[in-house]
Amino acid sequence: MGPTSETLMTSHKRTKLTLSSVLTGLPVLASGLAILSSLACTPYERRTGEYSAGAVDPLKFAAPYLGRGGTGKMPGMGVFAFAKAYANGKDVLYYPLAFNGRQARTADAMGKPLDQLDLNYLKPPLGYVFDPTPTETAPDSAKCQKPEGYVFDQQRDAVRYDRQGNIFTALPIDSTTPGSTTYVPIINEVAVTSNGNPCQDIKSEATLVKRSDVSLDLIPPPEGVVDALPTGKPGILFRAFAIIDPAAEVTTPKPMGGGNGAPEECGPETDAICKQFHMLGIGPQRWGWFKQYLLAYLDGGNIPLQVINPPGKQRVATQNLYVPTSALFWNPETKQFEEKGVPGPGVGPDVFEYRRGEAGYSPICRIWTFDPVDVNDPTKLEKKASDVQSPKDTGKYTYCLQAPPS
Amino acid sequence: MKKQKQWKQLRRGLSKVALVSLPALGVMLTPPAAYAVGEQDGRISGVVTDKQSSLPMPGVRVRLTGKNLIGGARNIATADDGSYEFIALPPGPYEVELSIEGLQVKPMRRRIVVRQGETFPLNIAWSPEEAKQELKVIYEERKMTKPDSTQTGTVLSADQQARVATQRSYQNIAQQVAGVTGGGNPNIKGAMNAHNRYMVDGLDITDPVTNTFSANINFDSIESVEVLTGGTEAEYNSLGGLINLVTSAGSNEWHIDSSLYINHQSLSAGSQFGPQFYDGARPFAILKKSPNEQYQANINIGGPIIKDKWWFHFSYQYQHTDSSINIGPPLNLQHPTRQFRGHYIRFKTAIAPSPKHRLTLSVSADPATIGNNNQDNFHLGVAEDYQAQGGAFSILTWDFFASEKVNTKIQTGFQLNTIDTGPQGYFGTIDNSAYKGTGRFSPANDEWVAERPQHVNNTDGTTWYQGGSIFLDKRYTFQFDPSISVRGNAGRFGKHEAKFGFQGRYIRHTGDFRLPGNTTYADNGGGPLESGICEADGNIPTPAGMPGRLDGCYQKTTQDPYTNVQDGFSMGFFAQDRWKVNSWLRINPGLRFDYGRTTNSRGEVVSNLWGFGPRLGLVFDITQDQKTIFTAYYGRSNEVLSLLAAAYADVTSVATTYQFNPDVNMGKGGWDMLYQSGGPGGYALRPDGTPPHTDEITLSLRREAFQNSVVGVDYTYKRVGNIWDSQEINQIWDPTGQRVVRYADGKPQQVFLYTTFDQNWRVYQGVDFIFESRPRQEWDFAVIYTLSWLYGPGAEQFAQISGSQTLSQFYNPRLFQFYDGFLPEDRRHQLKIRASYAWKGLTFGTFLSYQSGTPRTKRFFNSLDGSYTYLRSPTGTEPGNDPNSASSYNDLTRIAEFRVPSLLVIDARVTYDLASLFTEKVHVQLIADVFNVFNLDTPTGVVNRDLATFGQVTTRQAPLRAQLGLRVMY
Repeated sequence: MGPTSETLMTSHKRTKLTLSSVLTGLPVLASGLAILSSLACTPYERRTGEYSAGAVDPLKFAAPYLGRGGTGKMPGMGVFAFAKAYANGKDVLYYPLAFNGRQARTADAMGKPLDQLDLNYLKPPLGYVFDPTPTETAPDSAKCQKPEGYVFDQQRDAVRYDRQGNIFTALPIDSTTPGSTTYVPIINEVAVTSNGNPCQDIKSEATLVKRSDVSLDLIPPPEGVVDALPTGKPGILFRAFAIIDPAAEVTTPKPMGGGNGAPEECGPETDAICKQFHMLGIGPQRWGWFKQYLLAYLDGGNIPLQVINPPGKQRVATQNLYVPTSALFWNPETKQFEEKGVPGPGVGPDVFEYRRGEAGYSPICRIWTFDPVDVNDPTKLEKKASDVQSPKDTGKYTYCLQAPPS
Repeated sequence: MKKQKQWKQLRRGLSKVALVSLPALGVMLTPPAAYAVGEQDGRISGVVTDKQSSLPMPGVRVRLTGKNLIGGARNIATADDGSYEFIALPPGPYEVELSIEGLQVKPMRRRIVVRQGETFPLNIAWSPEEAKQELKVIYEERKMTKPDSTQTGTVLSADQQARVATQRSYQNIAQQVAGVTGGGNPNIKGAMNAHNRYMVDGLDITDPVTNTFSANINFDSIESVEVLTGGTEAEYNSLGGLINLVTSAGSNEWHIDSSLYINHQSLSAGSQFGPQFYDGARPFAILKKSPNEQYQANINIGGPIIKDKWWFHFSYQYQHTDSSINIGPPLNLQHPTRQFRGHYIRFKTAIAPSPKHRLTLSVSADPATIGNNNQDNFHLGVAEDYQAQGGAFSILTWDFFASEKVNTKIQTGFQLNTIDTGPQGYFGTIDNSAYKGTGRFSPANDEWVAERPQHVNNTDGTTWYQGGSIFLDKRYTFQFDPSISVRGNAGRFGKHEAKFGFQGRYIRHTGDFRLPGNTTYADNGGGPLESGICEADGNIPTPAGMPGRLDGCYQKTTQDPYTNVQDGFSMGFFAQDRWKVNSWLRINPGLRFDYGRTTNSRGEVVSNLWGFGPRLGLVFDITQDQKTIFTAYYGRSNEVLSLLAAAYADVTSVATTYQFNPDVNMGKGGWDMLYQSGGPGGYALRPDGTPPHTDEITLSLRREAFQNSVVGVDYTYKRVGNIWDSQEINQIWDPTGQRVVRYADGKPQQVFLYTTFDQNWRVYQGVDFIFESRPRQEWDFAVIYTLSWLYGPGAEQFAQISGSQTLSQFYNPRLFQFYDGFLPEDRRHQLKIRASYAWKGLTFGTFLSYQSGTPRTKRFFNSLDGSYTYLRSPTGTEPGNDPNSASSYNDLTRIAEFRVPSLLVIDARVTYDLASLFTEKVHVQLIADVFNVFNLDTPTGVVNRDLATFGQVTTRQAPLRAQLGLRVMY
C-alpha cells in the first residue's frame, strides 16, 4: 500500500460548474485592477492644481532680508522694526533697508566706480503685478473671482481668497560667498489684467504665462529650447518690493491713546494704518507668490526714474532723507527719555523730503545728516525738509520704504 | 455498474441502520455549539460520499477525539446528504473515525489539525466494503482554504512557532502574517497601531486608553494565535486587525513543559557603527559592544483534575532582557542599557460538568519594569525614563449547549492595569557609568536631583538633567459578552447559522501627573550639548562665582501636579448570519450597532458615539469541493469607546510657557509669559461626531494547491475615517505658521477641540500573495509577499503616534496642507518566508522578513513651539535642498521621498530532540537560535529634524545574537 493511500481519499472532483470559469477570472481581474488603481492613485490629494507649497524657506536669504536678529535656520526670529519719521510736517512710518550685496559696492575690483542706481546694471527681476495702477502701487487686486460667500477668516486662511497676490521671479538669496548677492529689492513690473481668474489660484510665473483667464504681454520662449515657457514682457515701471523672511515680525507703532507718548506710539497721520495692523497682529508686509511658495515683501511703492541720456538707460531717482545726529530715547528701566547719538537712518525721527503718494517720493533715499536744533524741545522738532538746517551729504543711499497708506 | 448496484444495496441497508442507530447516537452526541469561526474554537465540516459512486452516505458514524477536547469523544451521524459537522472544537490535533454501526467494516481514521476560528473542510470519499483492514494514519491533514468565511489572516500555532526562532511573544509572531507590519503593537492592513483589538480566549483585553495590547502572556501557555486582518464578521469590531489568543487549558494527560533560554552578551555580535548612512562598523574604535542579552525561564504544568471533566493549566515565565543601542550622535557615548524584567503568570481551568456545559476560568498577571526606556543618543543616563507596568485580568466563560440547534455563550472579565512612568532616578537609580568622571559633562549629570527641571536643547535635540513627567496611571475594564447561536435548515432557503450577541464594556482611567521641578526648559541658540543650556533660574549648579549662561535661554513651561479620572462604557449588539444558499454559494450578512460614551473628571461628556456596522460577505466555492474559494466582502467597523480622548480632554493644571527676554532686568534677562495651555479652559468638546470607522472591501481567492497547502491572493481596500484628534482653535497664526499673532478669545492660551475629524483619514490598498503549506509533518512552509500603499492625512491620533499634539495636522492650520502623502507606516514591499524541516529529532527553522523602508518627514524649527514642529514638504518627504546650492531651496521639483532603508532580517533555529534517549513521553530539546543571521546593520532610525546631524543614523537593526535553549517536556 502506498504511503498516500489515505490522502487519496480526499475528493479531487473536477470542476463541473459553468459558473466557475467566470468566477475564476474575477479575482484575477480584481487583483489586477487593484494594482493598477493603486499605481495610478496619488497620495497627495491636498497638492493638486496650483496648490500652495507653504511659506518660502529663507535659509539662504541675505542677512538684511531676515530682519534684525534673524536667522535663516529659524524663521521668525528676525524683526523689521518700524521707524518713525516726518515728511512735510506729518508723521510717516518707514522701514529702512540698507543697500546690500552688489548694490552696496561703489567700485569694482579694479576700482572703477559703480553706479548703485543704474537699473541696467542692477537688472531687477520681473514681478507680475495684477491690475496695477500707473504710479502708486495698488493693493492686491480684488478683480479676481472669490469663492461664493467668501469672508476672510484670519484664523483659517493664510491669505485672503478675495484678493490675488503678485507673482515674483527671484528671491533675496545670498551669494555663495555671503555678502555679494545680486538681488535688489526692486521688480520690473509686468502688468497682468484679471479676467475671471479665481483668487489666489495663480501662484507661479510658470502657471501665469499659460493661463487664459488673465491677460498680459508675453515674450515668446527662445526657439530650440525644450519646454521653455514665454515670459512676461517687462513694462516701464519699477517697484520697491523687498522680499523678506515671511515669518519675520514687521512691527508697527501702537495706536494713539494707549501709550505714553513715547516713540512707539503712532502719530495722527499713521494712526489708521497702525490700528489696522494691530487688529490683525501683523505689520504692513504684503503677501505674494514665488513658484507656488508664499512670500512676504515690504512695499515701498513706485520707483521714479531719472530722465537721462542716452535714452534707454534707466536710473533711479532718489529723495533726500535727513538723519539727526542725536535724539531722545525712552529708557524703560529709568522710565525717562534720554538723549543719545543716532548711528544712522531709522533710529531717530528722520525727515523725508516727501511722503508716499506725493510727487517726488522715492523709496530710495540719499542720506544726509543734521544736528537738531534742540533735541529736548518737542516744539522744535524738525518735521519738514525745510526745517533741517545745514544738512551734510553722506553720499550714501538706502532703501527707505514708507508703509503704504491704509 | 456492479459497484453502483452494490452501493445501492448497501445504501438501503445503511438507511435502515441509520434509522436504528440515530437515536442511540443522539444520546451519545456531544451537544453541538454555535459556529465559532473567528472565535477561540474551530470546527470540522464535510460530506461523506461513496468512493465509487460519489453518492452521499447518510448514517455513517463519525467519531471525533482530540487531546484538547474536554468532555470526551464526540460522536455524530452523517445527515441524509452525507454531511456532518463538529463545532466548538478547541484548536489542535484531532482524529476523525468513520464507521458504520452494525456493519462489520473496519473504521477509517483521519488525523487532522483544526485551527482556531477556521473550518476544516473534510470531505471523505469512503468505500466501506473495500475497507478490509484499518488504515494506518500517517499524516496530519491541514486545510487552510476557509471555505465558509471571508476573513483574511491566518492562525499561528504553538507547534509551528516552536520550530522557528522568534522573540517568543504573541505580539512578535503576528509579524509573520500577511499585511502585518510595525512592532509590538502592529499595524494591520494600514490601520494605526492603536486600532487593533486583542483577545484572550475570546475576551477583549485591549487597553481601554491607548487601544494597544494590555497584557503579556507566557508564550508557552498559548496554543495558537489567530491574526485576523480583514473580512471580519459582525461579532468583531476592529478598525485594524484582531489578535486572538487561545491559551492552554490542560488535557487528560499530565504535561510539564519547562524551558530555559540564554542569550549572554558574549553570544551577541554587537559592534559600534559610524553615524552616516554609508558608515559601517568602526574597526579601529576601542568601544565596547552595546550590551544585548536575554534570559528567559518558563514552567508550564497542565493536566486533569477529573478526567474528561476538569482540566487545568498553570504557567509562569520570567523574562530578563537587556538591550541597548549603538553609540551615535550627538552624545556619542554608550547609552544606558534598557532593562526589562517581567513575570508572566497564568492559570486556566476548564470544566465540563455535563455534555451541555463547559466552563473556563483563567487568571493572568504580568508585572514588569523597564529601566532606561528612552533608548536614544539624545539622553544621558540622568535624563532617562523608567516604566513600571503590569496588571491582572480574569476571564470566565460559560458555554451552554441547549440543543443541537441552539447554544449560548457568556463571557465576562475584569482587568486592572497600571502604567507608572517617570524619570529613571525617581523610580530607581540612574546609570551614569558611561560618562561620570570623564569630564565630558558637568557634575550636574552625575546625580539625579528630584526637583531639577528637564532641559531640552533644541540646537541638537539633546535632553538634560531630568527624565520626563511622572505619571501614575491605572486602568480598569469590566466586560460582559453574552451571545446565542442558532442553526437550522430553511428548506429551499438553504442552511442558516446565525449568531446574536451583546458586548458590554465599562472602563475607567485614573492619572496622577507631576512635573519634576514643575518646569521644563526648551533651550535654543546657545550651542550644542550642555553648552546650550539655559542657566537663568539658578537651578543648575554653575561654577562658584560664575554667572549662569543665558545664551541658550529660549522658553520654559511650568505646570503644577494634577489628578483626573475618566469613565466610559459601551454597548454593542450584533447579528451575523451564514446562509449556505447552495453547494457553491454562501452569503454572510451581518449587522452591528454600537454605542459608547465617555466622561471626564468634571462629568462632561467627551464622546457620545453611535455606530452602525453592516457586513456582507460572499463566499463562492468555485469547484464545489471546498478547495477553490473566492470571497468578496464589504464591512464597516466603528470605534465608539476610547478613553484616550477623555484622558486628554480633561482638567489638567495650567501649563504656562514663557519666552526669555534678554533685554530686561538690567541685562540679566527675564521671562515674559507667552501663552498658556491646559486648565479648565484648555479644551473644548464636540462629543457627538461620527465615530472613527473603517470601510473595507476585501477580495480573496484561495486554492488548495496540493496536500495541506493553500495558495491565495487577497486584495484589500481599507479606509479608516474620522480618526480622533485634537484641533487647536484659539491661536491665530501669521500666514507662514511660524508665529501666533493673536488669539481668538483674546487670551494667550492654547485651546484644543477634541473630536473625530472628517479630514483625519487614511487609505490602505494592498495585495497579498500567500502560500502556506505543511505537506508533510516534517515540513512547514509559508511565503507571503505583500504589495501595499498607505496614504492620507491621518498620521496622528492625538499625540499617540508622534508624541506631541503640536505634530498634528490640526494644530497649525498653515501646515494642514502638508499632512498628505505616504504615512509613516507605509511599506511598499514585504516578503516573509517561514520554513522549517524536521528530520529524526533535528529541526531546522528559519524566518525571513524583508520590508521596504518606511517614510520619514523632515521637520523644521518653529519659534513659537520652541521645537521642531514645522513642515516644508508633505509627510513622507523632505524638501531636497542642497545646502551648497541656494537655488535648490524653494523648488517643488526637488522634494524627495524620505525613507529609511529596506530591512532584511533572517532568524534561524536548530532544535535537537533527545527523545530517543528517554521514553517517548519525555522530550528534551536542545535549541540554538540565531537572530539576524547575517549580522546586517541597516539603519532603522535617522535624525529627521533640521539639525546639523539631519539624516544621520540614530538606530540600526539589532546585531547578530545567538541564543541557547533547553526545553524539557513531559
